[in-house]
Amino acid sequence: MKAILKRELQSYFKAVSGYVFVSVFMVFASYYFLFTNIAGLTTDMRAVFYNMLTILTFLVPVLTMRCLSEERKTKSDQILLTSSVSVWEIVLGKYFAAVGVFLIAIACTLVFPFILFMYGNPEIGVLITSYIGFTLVGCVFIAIGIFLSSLTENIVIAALSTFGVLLFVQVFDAIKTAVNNDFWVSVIEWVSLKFRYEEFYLGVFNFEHIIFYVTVAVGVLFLTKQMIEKRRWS
Amino acid sequence: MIEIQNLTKRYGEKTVLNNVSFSVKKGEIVGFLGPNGAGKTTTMNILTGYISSNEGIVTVDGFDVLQSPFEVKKRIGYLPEQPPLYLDMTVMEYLNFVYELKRVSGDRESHILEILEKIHIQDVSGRLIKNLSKGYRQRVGLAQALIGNPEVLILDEPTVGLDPKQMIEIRNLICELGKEHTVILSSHILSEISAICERVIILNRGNIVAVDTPQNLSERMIGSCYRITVKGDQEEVLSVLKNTDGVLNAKEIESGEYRVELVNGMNDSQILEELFYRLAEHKMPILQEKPEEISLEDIFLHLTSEETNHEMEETA
Repeated sequence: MKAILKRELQSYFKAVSGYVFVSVFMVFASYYFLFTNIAGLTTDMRAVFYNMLTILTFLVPVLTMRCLSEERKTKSDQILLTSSVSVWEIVLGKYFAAVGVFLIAIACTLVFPFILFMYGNPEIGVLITSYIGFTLVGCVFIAIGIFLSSLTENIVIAALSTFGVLLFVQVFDAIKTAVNNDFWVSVIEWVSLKFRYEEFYLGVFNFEHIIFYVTVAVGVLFLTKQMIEKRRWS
Repeated sequence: MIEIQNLTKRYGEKTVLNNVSFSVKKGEIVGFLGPNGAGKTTTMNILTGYISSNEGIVTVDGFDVLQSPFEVKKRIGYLPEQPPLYLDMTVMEYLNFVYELKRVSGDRESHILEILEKIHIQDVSGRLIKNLSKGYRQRVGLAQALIGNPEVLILDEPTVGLDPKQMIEIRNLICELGKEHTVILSSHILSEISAICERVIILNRGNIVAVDTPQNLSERMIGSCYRITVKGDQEEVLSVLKNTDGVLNAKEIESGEYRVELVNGMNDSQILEELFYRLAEHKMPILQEKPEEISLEDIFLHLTSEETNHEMEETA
């Protein structure tokens, strides 16, 4: 797994995709920070975290589209699958590499709270839960992207389908307004990736949400592993 | 070393491998020969654990591919038809990656340097694989298969798409490697297989058609083939051709043009001389005569027809 993780990380920064992800991420994060916090003279970063989720919808496909689809197309997956590494290790290696790039991007944004602390008195608890929530949602998004890239050999299809699914995740909560049934509303809120995220940037630290996100990510990665196995067995 | 029993692989309705069984002894160089779609790559992919089979047992050094895949994979170096390269890496980075991937222990640097030297790619070790020619990429693929010093090397059409000079170089390399490793390679070029391999397994449409040494096989096969143009009545010409000693078969391809297959093991020019005099006797002059290459197709036709003949004899 270590070998794959290392190679993937290197390849992100050898090709442009790693730089594109981090720089575009930073451009938008700075933009929102500048116009809400600096221009609005507030220490409340809620708007930044809210809007960055939308930006992730566009950026995660860039990060994950090549992951497994290109390997299949160039048949370089043959070296992975005929070496003594398990399919789990392949999937996890690729996943953690993408998560690594995402974490680099997040680390770059830590400069914002630093600025807030220099000139103001932000609520540290809210900032911490916001960062935790954002990281977790991003990790789930990346898992979804990797799963979709395991379904196709075409990177354009992988990117577009990831974008579509993540966009759907964003608008999923809107179904609530259409159903007036309390039970169904609670079901929608329970499965929604976005609804739980909103609690994080409001400063609520709920362990249940963390378990939920981790379970979803592991589940999606498990499906990815099964997809690869299935192709070998059919 | 390698035992394959009743291997069957189906893709939906289509059977790509049908009850294939063979074994390879330690230190042997075995060739898979067959046209495209014969099942060579499928067999190799199953052997290396890339895909699974529907039925059958594959063991390498006593380890079952399904039960202990890692033990098997450790013992096999695989060069697929399309070398599994990462174009954005340099040769050295790539080989280091494979070294880590295969979890090889020991001195990394000297191991990789030794392989670079063996495959003669030291001079490109710092270059991006993207910028290498097809021949060099093939060599890097071969280098990758050698990492970890596996006992078995499986090479899928290692000379396809190379120019004649590169082909000879790769062939020599494989002969060299065959001294230390058990090698299975596939090809659809007969001369290549007979030059390198000690034993040939001929596959056609998922079935083993023949397993033999190249010498024995070529004795069972046609020796050589000529295309001759003769002036004269078709039936008469054919009867003269067929009744000449050393002629295995003759048939008309176009009007006046005949394809003559000669038996193996006799002097061609002797037979042709005889043909010349006999046709001259009948006042049927040879207008043109040129040798024809024996294609794999001919061998298959020959072998498969031989097999059906056998079957018919047995049932009779």
